[in-house]
Amino acid sequence: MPMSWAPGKRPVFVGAGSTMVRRYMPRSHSANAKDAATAAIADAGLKIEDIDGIFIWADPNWGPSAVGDPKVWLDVAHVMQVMPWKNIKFWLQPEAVAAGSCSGIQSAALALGAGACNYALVIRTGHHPAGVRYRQISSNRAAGNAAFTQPYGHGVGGSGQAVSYQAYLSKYGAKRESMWGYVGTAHDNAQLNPNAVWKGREITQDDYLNARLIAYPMNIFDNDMPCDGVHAVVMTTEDRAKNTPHPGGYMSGMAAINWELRSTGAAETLENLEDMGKRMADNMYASSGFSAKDVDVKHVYDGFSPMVWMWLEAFGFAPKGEAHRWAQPETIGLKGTDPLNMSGGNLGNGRVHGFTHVLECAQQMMGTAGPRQLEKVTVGTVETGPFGNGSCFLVTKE
Amino acid sequence: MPIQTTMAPYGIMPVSTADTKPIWDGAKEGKLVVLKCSDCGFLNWPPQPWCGGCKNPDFNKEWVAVSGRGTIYCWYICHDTSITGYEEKVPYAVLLVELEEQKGLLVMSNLLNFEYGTLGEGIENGAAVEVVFDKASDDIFVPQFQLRR
Ligand SMILES: [Zn+2]
Repeated sequence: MPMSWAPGKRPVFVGAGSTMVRRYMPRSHSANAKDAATAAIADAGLKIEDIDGIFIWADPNWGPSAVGDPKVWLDVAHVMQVMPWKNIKFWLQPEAVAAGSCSGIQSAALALGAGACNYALVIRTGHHPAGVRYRQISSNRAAGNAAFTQPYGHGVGGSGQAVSYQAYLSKYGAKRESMWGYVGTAHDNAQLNPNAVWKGREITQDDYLNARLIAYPMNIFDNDMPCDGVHAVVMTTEDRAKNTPHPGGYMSGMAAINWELRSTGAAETLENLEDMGKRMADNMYASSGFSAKDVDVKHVYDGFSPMVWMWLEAFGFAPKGEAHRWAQPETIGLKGTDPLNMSGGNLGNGRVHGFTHVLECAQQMMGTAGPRQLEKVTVGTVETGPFGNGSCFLVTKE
Repeated sequence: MPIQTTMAPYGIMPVSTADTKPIWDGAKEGKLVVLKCSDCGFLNWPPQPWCGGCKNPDFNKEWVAVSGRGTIYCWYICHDTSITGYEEKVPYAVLLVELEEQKGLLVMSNLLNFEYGTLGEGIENGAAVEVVFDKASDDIFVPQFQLRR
C-alpha cells in the first residue's frame, strides 16, 4: 500500500537556499547556516517567525574527533542559538550515519503530514576544519572489530568502497576508465552551479585517469572533497503551499536501508550490498506507487563514485551489471536521456553529505534550478548514503 | 614491487580482549580460530554479541579451528598515507578472503610472499590462498594469507 496523507497535508518543498561550497571558508559554519536558512526562508516567501519546525540529519560524518564540538558540526541546539527564532514548536535530529541526509527530509515530512509543525526548515552543514587531515588514523592499537581490519592498514578514505568496487569491476567485466563517464558529468554539471566547489576548475579525462591513487581502483577524484558549505530547504503542507511562490515536489514515498540483511563479516559481499540496496529502492517505489520508469529527476549518492553505478542498478535506472556502460554523458548528462545529479553532486558541487542532492531535487521540482533546470519534471527521487547505508524519498511535481 | 614477507612492524597492533582471546591464542599456535554457533552451525568472523546466522543474542558459542584455506573475494591497493605507521608500507594489497568453510565468510588480509604490481597486477579474484601467521609481537600473531601452490 502506498503512503497516504490527509487531504491538503501532503508535505512539499517551498524554498531552498545555499551558501557557496568551498574547500575552506574564512567564516564560521554558524554564519553559513544562518545565510543558507535565511535564503531558504526568503525563497519560500516566508518570515523567520513562520518557521515552527527544524530538522537536521546531524551525524558529524567528518572524522575521528571533535564530534561534540559545535565548531565542527551543526546540530539543532546550535541552530536554535544563531537565528532569532520565535515560534519553534517541534524538532527532530536523526543521527545514525546509515540514515543519510534524506532522513532529515523524511522526519520533516512525517511531522508536517501529522501536524506536529506547519513550516519546516531542513538544513545540513559541511565543514572541514583547516589544519586537520581528514580521516587520519593515528591510534596504534585496535580492539573489537577494528582488530580485524586496521592492523592490515585498512581504513583510508574510500577503502570501504574500494573493496566492493573491485568486486563489481571483476564480476561485470567493467573498467575503471568508464567511471570518467560519471565523474566528468559531475564536473560538467558543476560548471552550471554557481555555488559548486569545482566551478571554474575543470578537469580532463587525463587528469582523472592520472590522478593520485588512494585505494586503487579508486583515486582522489573518486572521493568527494571535505568542504565548507551549508544547504537548506523549507517544506510545508499542500494547503499552506498554495500561498507560496513556487511549491514543487510533493512527498509520495520513502524508505531506509534494510540493515536486517547486514552480515557480521569483516565486510559485506557485493551480492549482499546489491540485495540491501534493491530492497530499499523497491520499498520506496512500493510506498509511492511509482516505478523506476516514471522517474525523470534522478539523484543518487556519489560521495564515492562506485556508489553511483551500484545505486543506478539498485533503483532500476540501469540494468544490473550494466551501469558502467549506461552512466555515460549521452545518457546521464544534462542534455542526455536520463539526467543524473544535476547539481554536480558530492563530486562536483562538494561534500555536504548528500544534501546537495536534496537541494537540487527541491529546486528542480520547484522550477528554480536556473541553468540546470530540466524541461521534463514529473517524478523525482533522491538517495543519500553510501552502499550498505542510505535513505531515500520520491516526490512528484503535482 | 618487492615481495612483502611480513607486515611487521604493525603500526596498529591488535589487542586481545576477553571477547577475542581464543582467536589470538589460536593464532599463536598456528590455528585460525573462529566463533561457531553450536545452535545453527554459522561461523562468525569477527565475533559479535549475536550470531549472524540465527540472529540469536543468546547463542551457544564454540571456538573452532578452520582449515585456513580460502579464495580471494576482492582486493584493493592502498596508496594513501593517512594511517600512522603504514606510510612506509604503501602501496600494499588489502584482500578480503572468503574462507572455504562458509560462503560469504570474509576475512581481511594483506597478501604476503607474492610479487604483485602497484595496480594489483597478478592478483586475481578466486585465486586459492592459505593462512599464515605473521609475528607482530611475542603474543600477537596476525592471520595473513598467501597464495596456495
Ligand atoms: Zn546461530
